[in-house]
Amino acid sequence: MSLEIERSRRWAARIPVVNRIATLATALFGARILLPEVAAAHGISGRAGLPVPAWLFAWAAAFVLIVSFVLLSALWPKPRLQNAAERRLCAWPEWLSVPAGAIGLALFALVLWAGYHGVASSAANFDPTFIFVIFWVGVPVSCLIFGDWFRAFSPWRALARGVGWLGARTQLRRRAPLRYPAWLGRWPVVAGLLAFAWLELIYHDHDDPVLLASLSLAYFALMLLGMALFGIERWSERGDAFGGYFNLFSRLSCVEVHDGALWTRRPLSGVPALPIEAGTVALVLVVIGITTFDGASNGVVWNTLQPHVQSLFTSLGLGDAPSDELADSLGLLLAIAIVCGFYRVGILGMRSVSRRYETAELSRRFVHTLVPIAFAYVLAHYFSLLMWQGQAIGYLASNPLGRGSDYFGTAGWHVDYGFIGSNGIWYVQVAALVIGHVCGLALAHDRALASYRSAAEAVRSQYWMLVVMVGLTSLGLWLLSAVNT
Amino acid sequence: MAYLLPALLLLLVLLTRRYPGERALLARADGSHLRTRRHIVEAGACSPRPTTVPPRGGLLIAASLAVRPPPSPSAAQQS
Repeated sequence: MSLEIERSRRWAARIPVVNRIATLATALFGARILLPEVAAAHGISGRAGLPVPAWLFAWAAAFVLIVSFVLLSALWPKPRLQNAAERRLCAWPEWLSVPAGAIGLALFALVLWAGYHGVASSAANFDPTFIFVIFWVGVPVSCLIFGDWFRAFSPWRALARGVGWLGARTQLRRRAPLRYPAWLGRWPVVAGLLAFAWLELIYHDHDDPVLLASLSLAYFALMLLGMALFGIERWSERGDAFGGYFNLFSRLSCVEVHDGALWTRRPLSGVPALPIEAGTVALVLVVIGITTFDGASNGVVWNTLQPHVQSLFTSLGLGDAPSDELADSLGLLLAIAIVCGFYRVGILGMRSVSRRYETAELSRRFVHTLVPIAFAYVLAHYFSLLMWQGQAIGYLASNPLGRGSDYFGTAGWHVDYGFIGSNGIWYVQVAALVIGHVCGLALAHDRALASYRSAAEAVRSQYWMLVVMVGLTSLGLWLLSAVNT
Repeated sequence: MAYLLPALLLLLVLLTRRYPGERALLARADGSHLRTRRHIVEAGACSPRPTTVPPRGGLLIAASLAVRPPPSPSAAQQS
């Protein structure tokens, strides 16, 4: 069964319209059991219209990557992305951040209002769809096009800047009392993302609107505290899990706002400038690992293994729900470890080519090459969710509490599942993965040219990165196609 | 396993310390291959070199025995 149908099944408990898809998914699953030969012949079900077996897509993707590697080695002799210049497009008035921040604060207030005063049903409440689909998936995807626009809309940063502005007007402005420790780096972002992923993917009552509103409020307070201690901009870049996550993907964009202007830059040239601090390697690997676990948790391998792990915890005296959550927590860590293993193989291989850099230094030097891959994983795995469940925000915006209001006249809208077919989604997923990994190869090639003295070392090192890219592409395609097979 | 096979095959090759196609890639990267080819083509098109015919048969024996070598065929034709 395909990922999008499984996604719909997960959401069926929340949104009534999705129930129809869930029924369809159940019917497909039943048909699979009745007709095992047909199911086995396709490798994946739900995409029965594919002209070739799904695993052939992995081979074709590997071929594309190898050809890209050859072309890069032959036609890209000098680094082009390391210090690429930006071009000023137009002025960007500073006052624009005021209405943007106000919108961010208004949306945050809406989340609190819907959470505390809306119906307890996660299907009809605004919060679960807004937080898990629009905020968690829609914002990072949009950062590819618009750059780091969340920075201006961030409600906690907007409030802190407002308070700071007031303080300056009343002569109460003061410097941050603490210096941000270098060893902390991006670790708060890593911890925040892991916590959010655990909430979304593992915790049983994750879609309770009251819980979501309370956690949002707690996060807001934590961000204000961090900014008060370490400074607004410093904490926004290093301590805000979502700000750091969105900023990571915005580096893939061709536009950026800074110094009062809108700037354009060469595609991919924003990624090599990613500051490598403590926790940066972990951040990129954790992002890929989280998505990997999300895919694997719907697949046959984890669904076969998970009950055994769960029974282990049950035998220790834990209840069903905690055992299930503990087993999935182990699965999440395992998925991150597997992704780390792929990267480690590539780094050790590069180290075997030249002793010029230590293993840790190589890890830091080349980790930015995984950023487009992390984005590709996110886009590929959540594309169906965004395309289908994202439409629900249309009627939820008019009726955020689920009590029958119709503020914008859109409460009667419904999710159109015919908007894009499952095969169309599959092709988008494959294209996203392949393009993301080709971009990763290009970034790695460019960094190798800048890092190694001899062309032979640079080329040899990239053979190992090719293994990493091919492996991660194959893993991604396998996860997408193996859902519920 | 069918999905991961390309990556595993590639890894296996690299573990044996082989980098298939490395020399060709380096040659391409250096641009020497292209430069050499372009040089040959350009030289051939613009200025054809005068060809010298090596002596053969009786002329070869005569040339080796002669105290003074015989005149070149082109000089003989002009005279």
